[in-house]
Amino acid sequence: MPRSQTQKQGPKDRSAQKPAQKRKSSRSLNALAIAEKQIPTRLGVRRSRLGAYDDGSSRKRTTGGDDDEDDDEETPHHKRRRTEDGGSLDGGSDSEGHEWTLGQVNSDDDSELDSDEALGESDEERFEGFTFRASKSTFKPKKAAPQPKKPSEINLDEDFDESDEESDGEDYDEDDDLGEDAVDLTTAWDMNAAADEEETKEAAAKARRAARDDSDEDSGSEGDSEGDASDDDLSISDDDTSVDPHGLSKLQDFVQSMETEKPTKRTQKSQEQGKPSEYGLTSSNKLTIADLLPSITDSRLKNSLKHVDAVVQASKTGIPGKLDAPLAKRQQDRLDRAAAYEKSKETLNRWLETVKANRRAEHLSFPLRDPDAEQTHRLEAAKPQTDLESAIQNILVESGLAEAEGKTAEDQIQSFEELQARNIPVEEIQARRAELRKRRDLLFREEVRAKRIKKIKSKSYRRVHRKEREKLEQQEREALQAAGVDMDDMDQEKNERMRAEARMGSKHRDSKWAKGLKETGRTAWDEEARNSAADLAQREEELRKRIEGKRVSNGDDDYLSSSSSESEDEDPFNEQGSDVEREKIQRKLNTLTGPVDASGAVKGPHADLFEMKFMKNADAARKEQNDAELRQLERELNGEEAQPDAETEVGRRKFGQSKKADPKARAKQLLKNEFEEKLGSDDEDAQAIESDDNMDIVVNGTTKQKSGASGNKKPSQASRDSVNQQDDTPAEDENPWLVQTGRTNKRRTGPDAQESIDISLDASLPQAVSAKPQSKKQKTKAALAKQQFDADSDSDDEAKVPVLLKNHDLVKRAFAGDEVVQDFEQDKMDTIEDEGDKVVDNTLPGWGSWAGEGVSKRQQKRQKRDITTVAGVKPQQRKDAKLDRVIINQKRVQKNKKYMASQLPHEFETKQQYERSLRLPLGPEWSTKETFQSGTKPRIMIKQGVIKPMSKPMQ
Amino acid sequence: MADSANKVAVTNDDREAKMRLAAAEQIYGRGKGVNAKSARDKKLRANLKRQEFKHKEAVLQAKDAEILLEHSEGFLEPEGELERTYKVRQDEIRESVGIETAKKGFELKLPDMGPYRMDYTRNGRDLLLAGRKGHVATMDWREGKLGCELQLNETVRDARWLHNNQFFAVAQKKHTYIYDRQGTEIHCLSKHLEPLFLEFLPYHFLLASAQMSGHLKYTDTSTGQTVAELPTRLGKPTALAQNPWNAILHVGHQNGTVTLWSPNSQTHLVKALVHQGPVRSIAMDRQGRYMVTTGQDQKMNVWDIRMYREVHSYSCYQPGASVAISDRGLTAVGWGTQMSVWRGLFDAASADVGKVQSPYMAWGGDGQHIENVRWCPYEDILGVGHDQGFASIIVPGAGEPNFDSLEANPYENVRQRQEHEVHSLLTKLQPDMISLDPNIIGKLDTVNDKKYQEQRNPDRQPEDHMEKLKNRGRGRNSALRKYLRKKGGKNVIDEKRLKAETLRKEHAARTKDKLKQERMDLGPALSRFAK
Repeated sequence: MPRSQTQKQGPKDRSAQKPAQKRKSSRSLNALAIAEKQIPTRLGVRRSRLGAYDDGSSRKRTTGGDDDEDDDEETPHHKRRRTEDGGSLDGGSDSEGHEWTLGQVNSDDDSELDSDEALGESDEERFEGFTFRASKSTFKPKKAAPQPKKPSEINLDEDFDESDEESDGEDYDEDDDLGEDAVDLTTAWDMNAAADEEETKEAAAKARRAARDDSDEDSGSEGDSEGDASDDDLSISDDDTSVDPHGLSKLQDFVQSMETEKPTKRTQKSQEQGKPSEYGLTSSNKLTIADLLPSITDSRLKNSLKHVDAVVQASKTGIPGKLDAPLAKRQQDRLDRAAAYEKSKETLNRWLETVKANRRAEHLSFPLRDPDAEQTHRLEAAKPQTDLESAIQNILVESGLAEAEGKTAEDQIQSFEELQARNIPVEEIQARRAELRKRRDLLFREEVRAKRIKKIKSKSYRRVHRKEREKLEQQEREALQAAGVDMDDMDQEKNERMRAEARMGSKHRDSKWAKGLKETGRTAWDEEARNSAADLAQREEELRKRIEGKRVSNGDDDYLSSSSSESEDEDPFNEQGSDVEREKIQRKLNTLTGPVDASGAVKGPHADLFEMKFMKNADAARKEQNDAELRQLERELNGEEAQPDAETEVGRRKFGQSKKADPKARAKQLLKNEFEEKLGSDDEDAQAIESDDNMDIVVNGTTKQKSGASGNKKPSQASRDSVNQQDDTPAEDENPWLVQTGRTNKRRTGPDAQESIDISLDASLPQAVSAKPQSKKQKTKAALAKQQFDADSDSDDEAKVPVLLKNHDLVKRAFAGDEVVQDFEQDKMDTIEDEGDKVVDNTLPGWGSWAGEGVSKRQQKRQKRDITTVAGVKPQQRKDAKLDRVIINQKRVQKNKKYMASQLPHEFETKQQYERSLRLPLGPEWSTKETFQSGTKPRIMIKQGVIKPMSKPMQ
Repeated sequence: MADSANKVAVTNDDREAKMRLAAAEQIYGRGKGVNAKSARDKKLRANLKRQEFKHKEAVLQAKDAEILLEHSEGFLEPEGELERTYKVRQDEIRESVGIETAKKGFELKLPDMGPYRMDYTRNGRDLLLAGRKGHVATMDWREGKLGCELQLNETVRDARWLHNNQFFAVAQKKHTYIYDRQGTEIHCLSKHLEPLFLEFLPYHFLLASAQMSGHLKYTDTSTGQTVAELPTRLGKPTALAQNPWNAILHVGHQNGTVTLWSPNSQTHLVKALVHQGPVRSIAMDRQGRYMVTTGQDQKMNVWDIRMYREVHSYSCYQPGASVAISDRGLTAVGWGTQMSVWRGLFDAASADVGKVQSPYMAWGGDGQHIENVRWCPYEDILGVGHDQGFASIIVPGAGEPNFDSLEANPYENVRQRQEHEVHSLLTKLQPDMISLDPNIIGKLDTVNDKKYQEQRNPDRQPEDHMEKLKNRGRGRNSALRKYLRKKGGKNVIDEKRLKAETLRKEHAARTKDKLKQERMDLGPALSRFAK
């Protein structure tokens, strides 16, 4: 019955009810069928076999035309499903398009395009032959409010559809509705199946694309209340980029010849439709979109179908009890599992942070603290309980320090304002509010602007800020240093690295700024740029020199050079030691002044730069400064030279040339001499003074001492002693210990080892000057003390004859036979040899050569020696290599080894990390109680109580 | 403005915190921290960070705990420039200090039993006196209570308390004996033959004696086992002292050397020539940084035993018979009949200022020849043993004012003593742990580790000989050339040789190119000077 109905009403239906797309599809189906007959070769190959589903029209074309051929073609190399569905794959999306448009029509959010307009004149011409079923109702009047009317129509329509569907079995193509519905179902199934079989991406993409197509078509044919096939076709072909312009005319031809072909088509389809499908396609179940929707997994698709769903829900005509066939259990299970997995994953993910936090926690105590319990601890506003408290509260409230009755100050103000507002006319209040709003708005804008400005952090912004920061840091460091704290070693590594990078890098040369400077020639007019360019050039030069290994003769770097250039080659026995030193200083000054004079012509890569006027000016200024400094130096040196002569005239003793013209110092000197006089030639004192003298010499001579050296050499000291004390202690010269050490023990550090503080020349005399009075003071004090102490202790040693010297003589005689030092040195040599490399001769006589009697010497010599060297400690690598009075055993103490870690424990990457981890002792003896407890606190502590599993994640 | 003020305030706070940390680090810091950022592993990085934080906290807490140190040392301070602290006499001090303190300075006249050696217990409560001629006595010196008194009737060379005041060891003519507090002989250490000096290592429970024969013997007093017998091979030792920091024994010898010994090595660890004549006495400061020695050559030398360098040398009028260093770094030297105390010997060395020229205090000159000086722990008291008896001298500022009861408690009662004994036995250190660097325990054995790493590394590559040759030697007679010339016969063509030859060729080509370039640079006229 329904079938007959459809047969009757088919065309009308189509023309009147169905939206453009449906129409189009049916048309095209027909057209294709026709075309197949007319030009079978052309359309023999499907255009979009491999899922190029962009276009509905193309699909339509294929559905009809390829039905038979396609099936024949595809079956061999496609899955069974494919063959079953036949064109349904293509048709599916196609039919979906139908559904879609149907929904559109129903929901009626369309109609920008008038139905009149939609069906243009040409169309009318073309569709003359058609009778549109609902044309009377919908053709002329605009669909202003189709909502009430439409459902019934749709119902009708769908009834038709259902009937179509029934007839579906026999005839497919004869009716569009029928075809449409059937195809729709298959599409849905297809998608379903695709999801079920864990679709390849292709399929998913297909579905998605189909959805997109739908929407495209939807938008394309939105306004169409009337199905206008050609129009629709046109629009779709527009969409389709792959369709050539010829296609259009062809399509039109198809459309024209559509009707005639229908019957034949119908018969063809009917046979095909009779095949039972996997899902019971042939069943008479009525399916609606709503039934299919749950099976759609693609979210996008779902979204696009949302309103369809809604409409269908509203006008549900499908049999409520009947659903589509359940999936195979396996597939269903898989889906379930996937869904369950997703769900469980989500729930578990909520715990992730908690688990992480607990894992990383240093200490955990069970039972865990309940997060809810914590919140109850919130303190409420304390209410006064005792009289005293309430009295105080009152006072506070009165004085405005506390809020009354739990109201905050703000609340109070607000209430007050409200009260006030009642007295003011409405207009004013409004005006005020407007004003307020305006203010707020402005404020807000300002805020936004500030935010935006904050966001914009340009290079210059960063630079400026960095500079500021650096400045602050510098200040802080200085302050710290002033406070006597050296923070340098904390970030020493960082600084070193930075410096190394600066030296390595060519940032100064290759920076954009530098390049720009060069290109624009900004140096010509910009003072700042010029200065910085000069600076840059200088730095580059410096770096280059450094890389080449030359020393950089920059003012403040000089100390390096002085320490390196002043070698130890000077004769320590030289009596005129200080003379030599002075000469050295003089020479140095000369060399310094020399270049100054000769520096008129500068050569080098930046000569032109130095030729510039500004450079010259700066140079001149600097030169002047330097000159002044040099002059001062020279003056001081000369003064020093002049001084000793005076000294010799005034005092009884000569203290070398080291004395200075400082009157204060001289006074001290005199004082000291007096004491010495009183003291007589007590040897210990003399020695102490000697040492002091040495110190003076050192201070003045300065450059003589190498910075790295640990102390004076004894011989030099001895010689100086003799210089200083020539007149009064001649016996000292033959001091047996001194002589002996002079010969053998160079490293002998005398009492003045400590005083031989190396002070370089260029830090020079100002320092010396400052150091001098101090030392003098110390000296006098010391002398005084010594003398008195001696006087106190040894009253009988007060005699002029140096008793201690006598003692020394005695001692010398007593140990005359002992050659302690030589013995020690010999011992050391032996040890070095013993622990050094050993050569082992493994030669076996007679092995590989003749041995025994009668072998000539030559032959013996020719025998190959098999020598192996057992590596030991090399003399220069010994720990005592630089200590001549010490022998350090280089053998490892084997017994200690068992208390050492034989290999780096896991987790640690370097030795430092590992050893650092052991550095902090745990015991209570070495740390405070708190440290001890925190150090030994167990990771997990279990307190009494029930340990429940966590009910919910923390936070 | 407000912002900048805020910033300044912040930096000020910051600076204060930094300074506080720096100050704490200076005293309580334990070396430089590691950079947590250098760690590649995330977990390790977190651990390192946490650890550094703990270090910092510990340091700061230790600094804060200083508030608990309620006593501070006080020295004699001269009021004017002309006043000398060494002129202050004992009776003057005794007059000006409190009665209880004044009571601590006393003299015992024991003229008959020869020069006395003495020793204090670790907490400074008990005194052990041992006269050369066999008189041994113990006493609670503060209360003047005699513990026991023995007449051994044979030569006594040295005497030492063991871990507490319950036992003491006496080096007698033939053997070393151990007595308990009542004077009962408990043990005779027959292996310690003819001991000259005794030394007790409290943390290891080791009694060491230097024998006449030149041997050094260690006996574990908790188990009674002999731990080590070390031959010094330098004859009769003249001095023995322990370094309290690392439990290394320093032995002085006739030839002016001092040798350092641990029971783990049959040979000395270090040998240093400190004097021209025999060494008379040795002392180390508590932190194990400085050693002071006196010798027969009338010198007193101060050595830095971290670097093994002499820092100062002083002359004495007579050879110093005995040296001792107090917990606070005062050095007492007994020479002849005199005794002088030096202050700041080591500070001067570390601060690089001139050497101290005059002593801090002086005592003696009354005709008693000083045999032995020793500081009483936790007290400003110096004990002097001489041939006329014993003198207890007050030296302000000598002792550690704040004691640590976990270490040694001067006021301990019987139970505490017992407790402490058990504790110290439980935490006894093994003799094998003695090493020059006491921090060696737990450190990484680099040699072994390197070996292990090499073994573990699966894709280690054998050293390429050619690489070495390639990079060495620049001159005419390069290593490569030498190799080609020397190694192997000319007819043996193997891979190595081929490689070497190609390398050589490359080298030659390069030099040629270089020469050419140089010639080009110099121009036609000067090109012949290129080389």
